[in-house]
Amino acid sequence: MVERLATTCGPLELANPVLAASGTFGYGDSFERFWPLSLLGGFVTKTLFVAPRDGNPAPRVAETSAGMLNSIGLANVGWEAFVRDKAPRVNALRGRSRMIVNVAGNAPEEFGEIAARVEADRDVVRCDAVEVNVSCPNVKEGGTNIGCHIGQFRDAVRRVRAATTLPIFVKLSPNVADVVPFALCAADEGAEGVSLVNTLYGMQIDTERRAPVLGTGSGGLSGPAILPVGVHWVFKVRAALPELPILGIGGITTWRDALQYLMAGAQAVQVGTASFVNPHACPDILAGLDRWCASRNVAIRDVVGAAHRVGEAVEEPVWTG
Amino acid sequence: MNPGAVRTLPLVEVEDVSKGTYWLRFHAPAGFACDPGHFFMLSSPENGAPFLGRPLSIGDVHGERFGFLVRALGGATAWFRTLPVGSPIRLVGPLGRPFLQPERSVHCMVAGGIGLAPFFYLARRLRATQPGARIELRYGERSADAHAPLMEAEGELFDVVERFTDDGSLGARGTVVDGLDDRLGDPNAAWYACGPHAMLRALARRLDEAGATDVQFSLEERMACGFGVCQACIVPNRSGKPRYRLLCMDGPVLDPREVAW
Repeated sequence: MVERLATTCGPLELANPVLAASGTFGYGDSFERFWPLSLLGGFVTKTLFVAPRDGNPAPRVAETSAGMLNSIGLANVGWEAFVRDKAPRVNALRGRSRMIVNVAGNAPEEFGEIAARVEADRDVVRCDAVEVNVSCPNVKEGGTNIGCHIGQFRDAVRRVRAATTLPIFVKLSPNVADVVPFALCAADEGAEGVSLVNTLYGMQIDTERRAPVLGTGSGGLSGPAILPVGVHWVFKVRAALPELPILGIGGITTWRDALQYLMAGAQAVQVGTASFVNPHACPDILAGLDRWCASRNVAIRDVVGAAHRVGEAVEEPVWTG
Repeated sequence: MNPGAVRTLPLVEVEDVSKGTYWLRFHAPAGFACDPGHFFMLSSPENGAPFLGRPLSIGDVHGERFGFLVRALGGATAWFRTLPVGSPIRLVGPLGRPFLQPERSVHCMVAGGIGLAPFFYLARRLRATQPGARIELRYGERSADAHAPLMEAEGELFDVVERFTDDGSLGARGTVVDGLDDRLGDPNAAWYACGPHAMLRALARRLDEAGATDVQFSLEERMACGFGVCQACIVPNRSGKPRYRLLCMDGPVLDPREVAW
């Protein structure tokens, strides 16, 4: 794409600010039937554990007002199968698009184990960064406890940091009273950046059956319904930690949604649930951002954090590229 | 249409056929192609309507039109019915694995409720490729008012139609599973079925006991994407390895003997 869309998020040089979010993009090759992977600034793989997981019983999804609940249960092929079957194919397709592998474990020690596997296989996998999923709300003994309790959270991030020199982005849960201390903790432990937000806890009840719809009862809420929540936390984290790189996530469906995250302070965004409904969501958002930048004669980098300039006269920077 | 194409097409016709059941029809764009048993994800191209798409089996492809037989069960299936002609609808597809069409002298289709949907196109295709074959439809509903009139399809597409209702208000009293005796054990028959889970489970057992081997069921599950990413549409696998399969990729047409009912 064009230079006005180029951005950097910490150590990641991105051709554009649109990434595909974990859990909504398979391992990178699932959308090849619709458009080329190389269009994206980057993508994040489905959460990988050391061992494969079958995931939760059905039903696993439910539609809500402007969104959906899921309780997939982190079904994944396991690290070995990813390295053997998925990574080579995806690397052949991705061009300049950055690959971020998302990892998790059922306890802080397992985060260290999976990070050590990523480090050991990094020359084969050729990923550009690791995203640490401490905040998936579906696994009883895992993500939720870790992502919502600062002690375990710190322990998990520390173990990942000790195991790999790859850039680390910690994906933060919104299911806490304040996300900022978790972002601060991630930065303290040496993470290069944060991704926020993951899904919000939610439940839907079938009033005829008088029982929860999802097989596991509760699940994670995503989609346009959570857009303001994600924008809020990105804004707050940016205000508290202006130097910390941020990947903004949560409910992005249109290019204007993406722009909200960028203006709140994210250097780049991840598009998730929207891709289920509109497989062209990522390229559509990219095209919209490009048109907007062209019409305003600005570059994406110039609008990052723009909404923080409250009270200042907003001067539109001139794009000269 | 290439496999997995995304198109936004104007709704051309909505036709009510029975209580709560209607056809949604579109003009086939250039290059449109799909096979019986394929499905499409239909959704609103604008925010604000039902958020997720709905998987719908291709109902029929005839002349320059194609359509979906839909039952309004709330949410998106009720919302589609309210749309005026000309409304844009996003269609992703064709998706999934369609019906195999083995050469047989008899093709037996068994439909429960809105499970009738895929059989118009399947019968139309079989009629064209195997003109000498006999095509039978066994079609059950709870009551007479839900029965979709088959109009010219009866005779043109189906040589025999046997109707069933739970309450006996139309056709034979009972379910389609009760009405197979004359054909069970026929080694020349290929079987196709679509309908509620309980019906399919009972039918799978019945056909298995009768030794039927050429059996294909079109199943339904909740799904968010339709192309293998969301991982919602799991079907428990009889062999247990893997534990689950994804209906959108391995189905929606499956051999019932591979399913852990």
